[in-house]
Amino acid sequence: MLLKIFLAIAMSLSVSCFAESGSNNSKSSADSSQQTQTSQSSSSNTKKNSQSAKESDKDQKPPMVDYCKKHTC
Amino acid sequence: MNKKVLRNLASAIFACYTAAAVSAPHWTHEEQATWGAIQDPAQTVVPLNYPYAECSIGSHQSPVDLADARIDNTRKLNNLEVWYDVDTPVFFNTGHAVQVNTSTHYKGELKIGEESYPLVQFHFHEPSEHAVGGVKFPAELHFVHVSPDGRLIVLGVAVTVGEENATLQTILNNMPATGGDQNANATGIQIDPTTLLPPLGHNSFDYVSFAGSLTTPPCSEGVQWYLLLDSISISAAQLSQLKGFYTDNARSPQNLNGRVISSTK
Repeated sequence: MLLKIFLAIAMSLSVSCFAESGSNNSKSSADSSQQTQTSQSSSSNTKKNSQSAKESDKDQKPPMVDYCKKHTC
Repeated sequence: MNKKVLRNLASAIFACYTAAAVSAPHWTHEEQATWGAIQDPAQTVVPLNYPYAECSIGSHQSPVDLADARIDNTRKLNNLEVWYDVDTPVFFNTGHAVQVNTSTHYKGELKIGEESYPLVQFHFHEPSEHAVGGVKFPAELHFVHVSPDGRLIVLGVAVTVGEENATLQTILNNMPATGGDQNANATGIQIDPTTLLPPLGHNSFDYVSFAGSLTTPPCSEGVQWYLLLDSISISAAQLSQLKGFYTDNARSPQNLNGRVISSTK
């Protein structure tokens, strides 16, 4: 019974953690939409912005990469 | 679609828990039976004050004893394609194992079916962590890969004693003696991780695969394991040198809890 309660708490915390991460993602997603709009308004910068966004996506690695380089995994 | 959502959710939970354990309390292999009970004095809320709880209550823990498992060799499995490049890596003594971290822009990866998994690091355990009928190999090498969406794939290779491995010698010669240190003086030294793999026969490796976990705290689950059926060899002197860094840095086999192991043969 205690184990079930423990697991339930663990799962709810995981969901909270996920929600927090999701809200951050939404924020960054909103930021990038804004960036896209801005770039659309300035046609001369469109290609440049789009390219830098792609490069930024490429360089963005999941947190596990950093974790596994600092720990045995 | 559902499978993808579930997979991403599992990766996110995995990352959250593992990230929470980044500044977690000290642990040793000697106390592995009680990893789950280690408390984090900086946390006061259950379950955050037990950062390694999954080591005790997880049902898909690694390593396992392959002889205890039901082996399914009836399904056609994906070929493993190893696309490791030569690298100028970082030699890192983690405090628990001899580890080699790939460089920031390293392109080497493991391809399984249509998916690619970049190689992040590889490290050694002495003796092996996985066992066959209670028998362990002298050592085991783990190649750790992380997909762009955060999923972990570990390719395990059993190590036997025989001929010397030149790449391992380079690693041992450049590994810092103190736990937590990286070898900054080794800049420019090149390593080809493929030289730490068995020779490729019939264009593909034979392997067994199963769902498991990290074998060190926080023992996070959601790791897919691929263990090669062929081994590599190192010399007795190299094994002795490896032991000079860490000995008995292997977790004991864990309950399978009904897991089925897929095999290519």
